[in-house]
Amino acid sequence: MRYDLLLCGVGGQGIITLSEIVATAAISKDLKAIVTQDRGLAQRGGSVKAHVRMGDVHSPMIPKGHAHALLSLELWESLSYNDYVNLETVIAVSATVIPGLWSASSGKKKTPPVPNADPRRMIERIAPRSLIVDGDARVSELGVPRGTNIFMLGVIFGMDPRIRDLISADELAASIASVVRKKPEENIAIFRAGMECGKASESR
Amino acid sequence: MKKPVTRARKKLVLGNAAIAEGALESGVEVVTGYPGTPSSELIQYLAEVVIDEQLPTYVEWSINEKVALDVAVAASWSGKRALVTMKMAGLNVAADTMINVAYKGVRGGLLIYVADDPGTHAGCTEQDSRYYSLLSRLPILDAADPGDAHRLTRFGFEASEKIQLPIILRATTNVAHTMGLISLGEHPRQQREFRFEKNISNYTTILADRKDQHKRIFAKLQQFLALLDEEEFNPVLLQGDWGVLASGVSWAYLQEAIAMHGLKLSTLKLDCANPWPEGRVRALLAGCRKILVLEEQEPIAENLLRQTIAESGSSISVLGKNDGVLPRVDEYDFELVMEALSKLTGRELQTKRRSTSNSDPPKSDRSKRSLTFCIGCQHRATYFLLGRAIRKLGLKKDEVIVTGDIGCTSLGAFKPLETLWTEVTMGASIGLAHGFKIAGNSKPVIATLGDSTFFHSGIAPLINAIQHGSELTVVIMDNGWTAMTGFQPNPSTGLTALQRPATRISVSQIVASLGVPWKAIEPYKVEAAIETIVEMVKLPGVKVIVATEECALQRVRRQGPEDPYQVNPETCRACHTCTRTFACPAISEGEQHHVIDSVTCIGCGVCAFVCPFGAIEEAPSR
Repeated sequence: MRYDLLLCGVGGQGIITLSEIVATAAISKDLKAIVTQDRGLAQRGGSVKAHVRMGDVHSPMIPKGHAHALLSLELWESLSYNDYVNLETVIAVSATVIPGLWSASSGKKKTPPVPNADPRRMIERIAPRSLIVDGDARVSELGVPRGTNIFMLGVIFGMDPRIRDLISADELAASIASVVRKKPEENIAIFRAGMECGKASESR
Repeated sequence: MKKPVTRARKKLVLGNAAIAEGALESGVEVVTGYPGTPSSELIQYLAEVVIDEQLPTYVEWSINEKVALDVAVAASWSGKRALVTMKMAGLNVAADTMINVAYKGVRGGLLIYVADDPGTHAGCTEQDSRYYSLLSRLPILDAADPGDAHRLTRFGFEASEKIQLPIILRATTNVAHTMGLISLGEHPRQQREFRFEKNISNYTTILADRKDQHKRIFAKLQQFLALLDEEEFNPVLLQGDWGVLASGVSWAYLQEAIAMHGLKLSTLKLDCANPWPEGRVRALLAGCRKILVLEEQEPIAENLLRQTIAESGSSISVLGKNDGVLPRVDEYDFELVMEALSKLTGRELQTKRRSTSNSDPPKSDRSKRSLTFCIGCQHRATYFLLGRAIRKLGLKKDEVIVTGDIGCTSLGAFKPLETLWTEVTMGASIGLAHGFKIAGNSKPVIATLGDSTFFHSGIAPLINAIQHGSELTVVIMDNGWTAMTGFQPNPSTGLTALQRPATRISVSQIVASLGVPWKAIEPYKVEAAIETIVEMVKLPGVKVIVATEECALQRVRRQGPEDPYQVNPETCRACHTCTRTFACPAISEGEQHHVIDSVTCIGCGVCAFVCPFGAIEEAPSR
């Protein structure tokens, strides 16, 4: 038994926190857990990913093509990890766009290169079970300034019954409270709202 | 009195933190180091535990790795257990002391932790620090995962004390930066009594019998091998003709492969490549006909294995780097190990499953991210100012050599600033600048480096340049922190690793004492700073500019941001000067006019100077 979750986004979005929440919940269930994170240089505007592995696992990284779920906190970042995805992978993506420095690196007068493809269609092509949510907007609808990472964690949790078989929503909520510490009720409410959003997509 | 800390039995920790736990459980009393990815979290984690539990452990972010090791050696000679931490490049700095101390030996257990970085995630070389073990003869332990790092740390302290040699503990990025579950032990509070007996014939090199000391190292290594055997390290499992010898994180990839495909393999988990566990290796040889060696970086174990096979007169074939099965460059991963195992077993072992298509969907340019300075970083401002000052001097950016250095300041090499021409090692900016001058460069040369780098290795080359009448401008960008590696304190900070007050050493006072012209600039006071740079560059000889402004992130964390700036949509012409020559990430491009994110802007105001149309102005208070 094994569950592999790949988290990605941009430095500062709260990827490392999410990885610790999930892994802490896993070990509270006596599951083996391994988390491998990008640190150091990646904080300075770079792409960030974290491999969260649970169950009968050894390698610090998810074997290519074996991720059960991919959670991306940034729209374009979600397209960088196709190697890890298979047809059964569940993908949740926040529509958040954090401009890279493509403008700066593409010369002074040129227009930034805009790819022809629509990222939404590209994501759908990668995996049939995918969902793009405007995480930032949904969080601000809840009346809180930030928490997109926790919301999106709820979305993937709601979308994939395989992870709910390993960790219950209450167990994950307890883990949020122990890892985030600040405003536990608010964060758990954000998580549950995300989970409803994810579950709604499942029943569609 | 602080409440006693109840410790959970098991904890998920980074490999670096697992070593910190192992050290505290071993009763380490002195911990020193210099920050460097991927090693820095060890002392950061350990310091937090020491503060939290009010342990008597002494913890120091030293000025550089050599000083860190010197301090730890004296602690060990005094009978204390000591740990010193660094990245691979730092071991080059500490190597002088390390190689010498191998002769003199230690008393209290002394562990030298070095983090290697195959794959160069941290922007350094793929140095294999095991060569330092062969060079210094000091034993080296290689961790495969955080649990292993924890166990090897505890063993390392015991063994070091028994054989009276320092021991090197090595982890690579995918061990140091991986979180795994460890069982926590108690942190003893007992302190050993200080005792250092005068013994000139051992502790001075000049009076010691160096050849006798050298000879003793080899006897100690035999003793170490016996200790490894006693504790069942380098375990051998015999099942079948195919053998695998694996060290470090490769062992974890191998275990994943065995679990996924139900492989029956004979294995040796190599916990220590030097001293070479000849007996264990021969046990593996006895059981197999073909052996694959899985070790990242250099073929050190592989070459030793080939030697053992040759000496034993057997005809076992070896798969590894020498025959091109595996590379010497880059880190390994599960897929690479699977390919090698396919070659060993002659079976096509599948790794990928049910992919959507044979090729990956097209990746987008948009997801390519270049590294950059943080929003409001004063270093971005300083490099921008340097560019303007060079223009004002009637020169082009492409004719003024600006040497760079290690740390956040190295980001000045990235687009769009591209100010730096070179970046080599700690403090090298000044030596290189002097070298360009004496090699005949007729234009001004500017060396730039941060405060921590200046203290670490920048003072000696500055004095050297002054002594030899060089002609260069040195810009020391003093932000008060060793920021790149996670905001460790340095001599410019005024804090210790345990967050206690420390004597603050002023960069300016050091510079002033050297008797050369120097001036301070404030990077956010743009016009005045440009004037000062122009004036200083024109002066003859060595001159120093100290750009003083606390790290913007640290300042904002403590004091909150200043009022943000905003773009006036009426006057902005969307000319892109702000986004494509200055490129603060708070500014984004719009169709009609550009936008400053009022949440992330910290109000440094430099972009207002950058804008040629005066369209950026201070926003009303938030």
